[in-house]
Amino acid sequence: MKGNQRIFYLIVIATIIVSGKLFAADPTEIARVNAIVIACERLEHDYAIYRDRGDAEAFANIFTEDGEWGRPTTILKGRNAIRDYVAASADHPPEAHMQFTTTVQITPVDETTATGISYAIVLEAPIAEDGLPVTISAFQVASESRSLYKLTDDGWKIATREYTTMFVDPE
Amino acid sequence: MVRYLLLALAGAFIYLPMSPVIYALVDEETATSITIACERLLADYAIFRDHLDAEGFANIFTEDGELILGSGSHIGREAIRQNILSRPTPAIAHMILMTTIKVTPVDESNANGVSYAFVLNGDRPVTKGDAPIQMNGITSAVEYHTKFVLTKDGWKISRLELKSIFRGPGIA
Repeated sequence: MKGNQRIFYLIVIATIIVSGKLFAADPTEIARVNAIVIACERLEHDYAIYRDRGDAEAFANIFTEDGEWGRPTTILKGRNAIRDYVAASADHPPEAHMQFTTTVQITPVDETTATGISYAIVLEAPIAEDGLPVTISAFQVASESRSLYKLTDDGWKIATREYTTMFVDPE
Repeated sequence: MVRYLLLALAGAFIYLPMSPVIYALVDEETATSITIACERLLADYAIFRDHLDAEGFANIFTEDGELILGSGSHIGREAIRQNILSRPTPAIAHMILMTTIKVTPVDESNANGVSYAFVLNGDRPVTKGDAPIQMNGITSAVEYHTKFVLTKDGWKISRLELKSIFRGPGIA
């Protein structure tokens, strides 16, 4: 084999190895899936932050207009019902509330639908007269939520969501 | 002349995998895609394990993937599948709450990960309508060391090692 040929083959092999594109997937498909995953993960974090802050308007707006939010004893149907429920919760005595969203598994179904399972640990306690921080000894609740997400004219929204409380603080 | 060129190429092959230069070979868009893919695998790991989905769980590993738990090493998808199938059903309430996740792309087909999780382990199943299990705190806090590889079926875990760092009070 001549020297120039040897160099040529080496460069070809090097290009394949270094580029690492032996198993290159369709970039358009990857981008599509990633966009859905990121959008739905953002909804999960919005859910936690807006709920913790008691921001009824923002919280309701992460649901579709006819979205359903499953509570332990009832299902709230529609943004208005969800907004009213969160607004009413804000009237209670001041309480520190933090939902730590942890594992989130998003499964795109098609262009406009996705499903998700997410876990959260919640810390909550009344805020005493001396203010924050509130002293606690353990987490209060660990729950699993299952959501259906839909792409709407206003972006991705939660169409249905229900949760199961798996673990609680005995106190 | 040819000899020098060959030497230069050989040198580059030895140097590149050890060099920060390799990171420049993964552009930002690719690095983001790799990170998302690997983070999704870790979420799958938690959910499929907790729900005892043996098929789903085994398929997040490469065909010859290795899962290293406190109970020992499980090599290959079949052994990993059996690890899940050997657990009692219906599934005892178990939650792997993934928190900090750091994925480091090595090149376009390899990545490493370190991730943290709280583990809550119950003593009975909990399904919709059941009373939750009372816990005095977490069961444990663990660390996962993971190697990811791009295969013809997408990103997979080629090796995952669990290390328990903290043990909590657990069930009340």
